[in-house]
Amino acid sequence: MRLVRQGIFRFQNFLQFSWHAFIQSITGKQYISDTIHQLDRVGMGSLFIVVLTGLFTGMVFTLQTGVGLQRFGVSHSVGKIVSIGIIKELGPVLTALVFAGRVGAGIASQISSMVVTEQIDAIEAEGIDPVKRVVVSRLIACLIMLPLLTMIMDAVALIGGAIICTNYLGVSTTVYWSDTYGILEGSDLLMGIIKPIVFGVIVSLCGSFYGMTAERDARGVGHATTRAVVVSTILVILFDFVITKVMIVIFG
Amino acid sequence: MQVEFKNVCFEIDNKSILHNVCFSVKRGETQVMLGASGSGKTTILKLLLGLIAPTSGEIIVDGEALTTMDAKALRRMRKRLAIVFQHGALFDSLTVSENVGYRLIEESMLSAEEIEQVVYQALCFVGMPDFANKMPWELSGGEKKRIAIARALASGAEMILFDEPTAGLDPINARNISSFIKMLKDESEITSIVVTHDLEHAFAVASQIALLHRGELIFTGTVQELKQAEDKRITSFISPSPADLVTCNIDAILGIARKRLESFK
Repeated sequence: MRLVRQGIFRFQNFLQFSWHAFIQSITGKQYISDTIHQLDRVGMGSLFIVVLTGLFTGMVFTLQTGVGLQRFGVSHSVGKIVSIGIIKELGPVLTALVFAGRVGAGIASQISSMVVTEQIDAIEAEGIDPVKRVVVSRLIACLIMLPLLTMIMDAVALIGGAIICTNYLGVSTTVYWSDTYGILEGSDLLMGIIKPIVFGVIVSLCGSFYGMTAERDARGVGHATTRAVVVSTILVILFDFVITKVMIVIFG
Repeated sequence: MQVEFKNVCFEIDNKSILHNVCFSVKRGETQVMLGASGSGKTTILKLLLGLIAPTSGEIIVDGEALTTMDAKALRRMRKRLAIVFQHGALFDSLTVSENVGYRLIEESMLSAEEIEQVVYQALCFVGMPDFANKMPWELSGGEKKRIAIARALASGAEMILFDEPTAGLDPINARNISSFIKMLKDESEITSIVVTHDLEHAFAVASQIALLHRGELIFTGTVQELKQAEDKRITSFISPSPADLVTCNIDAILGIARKRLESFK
């Protein structure tokens, strides 16, 4: 019973924290140079791993799908399935999971270290809101960068698919690319862009919340980092389903 | 800036940290809070900054109750205060000069030249004008504390709180810090609250002194009055007799612990 109460209390705190961060990100003074610095850290720092993950995911997804379709003699349609799978589902989710592991963990460990070394107290003692000073720039950076990284992941994964199609499945590049473009509708692209925006918010807020509420010792940094990654991963998967379901209801 | 604590109690998980603490600090005074580790000294500073709220009682700052202030008023009040944390709490990602001028840069009410001048003067005050472009990780513990004092001074605060300013420092650095605090008292109107368990340092800087014992304020007065006090809890803190010191049987510990060495022989 006590655990449930604690869980509800913590969830309430998370909602309060998220609302406060949201309000701070649209009102008052903004730390533009901090945000640019975070955009660079979050975006450029994750580029290599996103490209690598995208390339191999696209290749393996195309290979598996293509070989499966060969059994029905329709392997030339692989571009359509790969395109929908990558743009609507694999691209956003995989980028978010990679992002949660790299950026979410980084945010949590950075902020919790600041808590342990009393830097957050020092900011508060200066009469400055630590959420505004520390969290908002990270929130905005994730909100902008995750959709961009997802687009890059999508593009690279489709290129990976093209490589496999041409070299292993005997499907011409022209057919592959025309199928890839032709099958996509506006709602598919919308789903592919709404998901990373929501996931960006989830990853940055989880990292910041667990960082800010870390215990004030070395153990606290580890705990905060682990919790941030675990919770944001679960929330990404959960919200992936919710968004997909809602979008299907709306657009069919 | 004047501060008054009225019957302040603070508890965490039903454990009493501070019990009925009453004291007041007048403008320009240096109030030293003495006490053993874990007696609740740092808690007093956190309460005064509004980082934590008292379980009961009132904290009055310039006639206004801290406990009834909303977030905005609290932030405004904090801008008149500065704190020197035990380990300096310098911002890792900023240079020394950015740390020192942090509040001025944040508020952006002064020109860059004016901020540079204030930062330089504050660094000169703590004897570190050449350290402006260094990063916090390049500094020793004593240097970090001196920079933290410069940061507090550069903020133009009316009251500076010092959390264990001499803890873990060599005697020369500790004496330097004491002299900075004394200079603040003698040459400015700045009110200070110094939390420490270092008696030599406390006696050197205090206008008023208070002694905390297990969360209870057992003495407030001048250094002279403290030295003349007869309360056993006070005398055992300022001049402990052999009977007050923790004793143990070293032979009993080593006799057992060294058995492990037998296996290495």
